[in-house]
Amino acid sequence: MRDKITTSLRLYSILIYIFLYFPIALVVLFSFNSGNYAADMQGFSFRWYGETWRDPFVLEALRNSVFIAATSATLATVFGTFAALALQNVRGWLRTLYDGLIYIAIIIPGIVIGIATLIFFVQFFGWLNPWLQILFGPSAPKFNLGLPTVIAAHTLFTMSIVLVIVRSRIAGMDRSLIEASNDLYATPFNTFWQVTLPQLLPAIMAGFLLAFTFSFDDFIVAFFVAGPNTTLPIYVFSSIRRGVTPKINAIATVTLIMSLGFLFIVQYLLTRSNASAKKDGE
Amino acid sequence: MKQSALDIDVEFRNVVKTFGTITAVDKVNFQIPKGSFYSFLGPSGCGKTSSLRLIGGFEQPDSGEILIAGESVAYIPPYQRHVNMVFQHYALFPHMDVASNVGYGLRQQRPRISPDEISKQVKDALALVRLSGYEKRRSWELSGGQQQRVALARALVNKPTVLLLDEPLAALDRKLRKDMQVELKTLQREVGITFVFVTHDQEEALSMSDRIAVMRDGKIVQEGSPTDLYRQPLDRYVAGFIGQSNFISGEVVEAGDQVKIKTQRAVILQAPKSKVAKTLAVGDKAVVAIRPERINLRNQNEAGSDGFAGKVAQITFLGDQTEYHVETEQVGRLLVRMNSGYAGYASGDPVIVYWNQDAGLALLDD
Repeated sequence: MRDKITTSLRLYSILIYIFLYFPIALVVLFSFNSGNYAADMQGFSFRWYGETWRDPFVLEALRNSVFIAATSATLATVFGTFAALALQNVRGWLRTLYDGLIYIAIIIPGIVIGIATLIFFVQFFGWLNPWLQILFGPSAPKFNLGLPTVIAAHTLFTMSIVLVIVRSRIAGMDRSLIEASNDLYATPFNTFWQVTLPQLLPAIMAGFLLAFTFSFDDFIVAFFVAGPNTTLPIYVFSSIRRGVTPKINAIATVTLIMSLGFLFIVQYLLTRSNASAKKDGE
Repeated sequence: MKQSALDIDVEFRNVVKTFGTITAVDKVNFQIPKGSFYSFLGPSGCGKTSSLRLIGGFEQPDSGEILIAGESVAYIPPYQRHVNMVFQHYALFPHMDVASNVGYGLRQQRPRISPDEISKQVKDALALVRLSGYEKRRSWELSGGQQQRVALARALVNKPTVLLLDEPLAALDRKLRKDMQVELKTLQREVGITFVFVTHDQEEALSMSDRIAVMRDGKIVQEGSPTDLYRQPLDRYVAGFIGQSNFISGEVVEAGDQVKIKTQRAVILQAPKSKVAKTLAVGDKAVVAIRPERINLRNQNEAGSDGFAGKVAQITFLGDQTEYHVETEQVGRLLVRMNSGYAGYASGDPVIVYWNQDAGLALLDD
C-alpha cells in the first residue's frame, strides 16, 4: 500500500517536472533547427545563432540590456549594502517598518512597479521640464523616458534583494571579529575595510549577480518606462508578434544559459559564505 | 597594602555597569599590580567578563572611574587603548593567514612600521608561542590549541600594557588545558606583561594566578593570593568555590578568635575564625568548614582523640588518593580524602571521623 502511494507520488512529480521544463527544453532544442520555422525541426545547426549575432537590432537590444543590468545592479549593490549596514543598528518599530517596506518592494508585482514608476516619471518630468526651460532657455536639457529611467526602476526593486542577502550575512557574522579588529588598534573605518567588507564580500557579489539577472530578464517594468528604447526582452516580445522564428529560440537559449550560470555562481557564493560563517561561530 | 600609582596597571574606582535592569558590575574597586597574573573567578553572570570588557573599552561604565597605567580611560575607544584581548573563541580573521593575523595590530600603527620590521616581529611572536613556520597557514587548518597560540601571539606582538584573556582555555580539552595553563604562566613570566584572566574554573585560577578576585552578583567577594583564599576564605561562598569543603551548619554560641558553634543535632564544635572575616556574634548562622584532606578516619575499636561515629557510605578511588563519603549520626555526611596508602576501609565499615580543632574554620553562612 505504502509502496503504491510512493510510486504514484513519484510519477506525479515526474509529470510536474515534465510539464514545467518540457517547453523550455523544446525552445533549446528548436534553437538548433536548421529550417526556417520555429516548430518544424529540419536538422541540427548553429545557423540561427550566427544570424542572431549578425542582426544589428538584436545587438542593439543586447547592448542596452547589458548596460541597464550592469548599471542598475551596481547601484543596487551599493545602496543595498549600505542600507543593510545601517539597518543593523535600527531596532523597534522603525525596524519593523523598514522590513515591511523591503519585503513589499520584493513581492509587489512587476506591473505595479511598471505603472507606478511610469506615472511618477511622466508627472515629474512634466513638472520639471517647463521649469528647466524657464531657467535655462530653449537650449535647456529635456528629461524623457529612456535607459536612465529603466535603470532607476530596476535599481528600485533589485536594491531590496541585495539588502536582504547582505543583511542575512551580517546577522550570521561573528561580532567578535569586529571587536578583535577594534582591539588591535584599527579605527572604525579601517575595521570596515579590512574585516567587515571582506567578510561580506561573498554576499555582496551574490547580491550583485542576482540583481543583474533580475534586471536582464525583466520585461514588464522595462516595457513601461523604456520609452523608444529596446531591451532584449522587449525585442523578443515585439518580434513574436511577427511570428516565432528559431532566432527567438536562440536568443532565449542564450539568456537562459546566462541566467542559470549566474544563479549557479550565486548559490555557490552563498553556500560558501554560510559555511564559513558557521565556522567562525564555532 | 598600599602601592604607589606607578606599580598599578589597572584600577577600578567604584565602577558600575548595568545592562537594562541587571547590574553586571556593582561598585567594584580593585588594583592590579604591574606584571602580575590576576584572575577574576566566579560563576557565569557574576560580572567577571563585563569587568574585562570594561578594561578593554568594549563597554563604558555607567559611573566610576577606570585607570590604565595610572590614567583615566573614560571615553577612550578600544583602538586607542594599549590593551589587547584574547577572545574566548579566539576571533582569528578567517580571510587572512597566520602571519597577517599576527601582524594585524602592527599594520595599524601610525607612523607606519616597515613591512620588513613587521615580518620580523611576527616571526619572533610566533617563535614565542612555538609556532614558527606556521606563517602561511589559514586559521581553519589549525587545531584548537594552535589557534589559541595564534590569538596569543596576535595580542602579545603589540607589547600591550595589559593582556586580557576571556576564558581562553574553556574550548580546549582537558589534557591540552593543563598544558596551556603551564605554558601561559611561563609565558607571562617571560614577557613580564600584566595578564588579566577571566575564568569560572577554580583550578585554573589557583594554578596560574598571583592574585584572584572571587566575584558574585557583580561584586568582588574576596581578593587575595591563591593560598590566602584557600586557607582563609572570607565566607561559605568563597570556601565552596575555591577547592572542596565540608560544611557543618549551626548557630554561634560563643564568639571570639575561637568560635563555638552548636549544630542542629546540638553538637558543639569549636573552630578558629577566618582571619579576614568579620567578627561572628552569638546567635549568627554559621558553618564549620573543613577541607576533605584535613579529616581523618580510624576504626571504631581503635583508641584516639574524640570524633564522631559513622559508616563508610561510598568510596571513590582517585589513584594516589581515595575519597570516602562517611555518613555520621551527629554531623551528617562528610567527604574525607586520604592517601591511598593508608586506605583500608570498605563500603559499610564502621569508622570514627576526627580532625584537629584548627583544621576547621568558622564562617558566616549565607
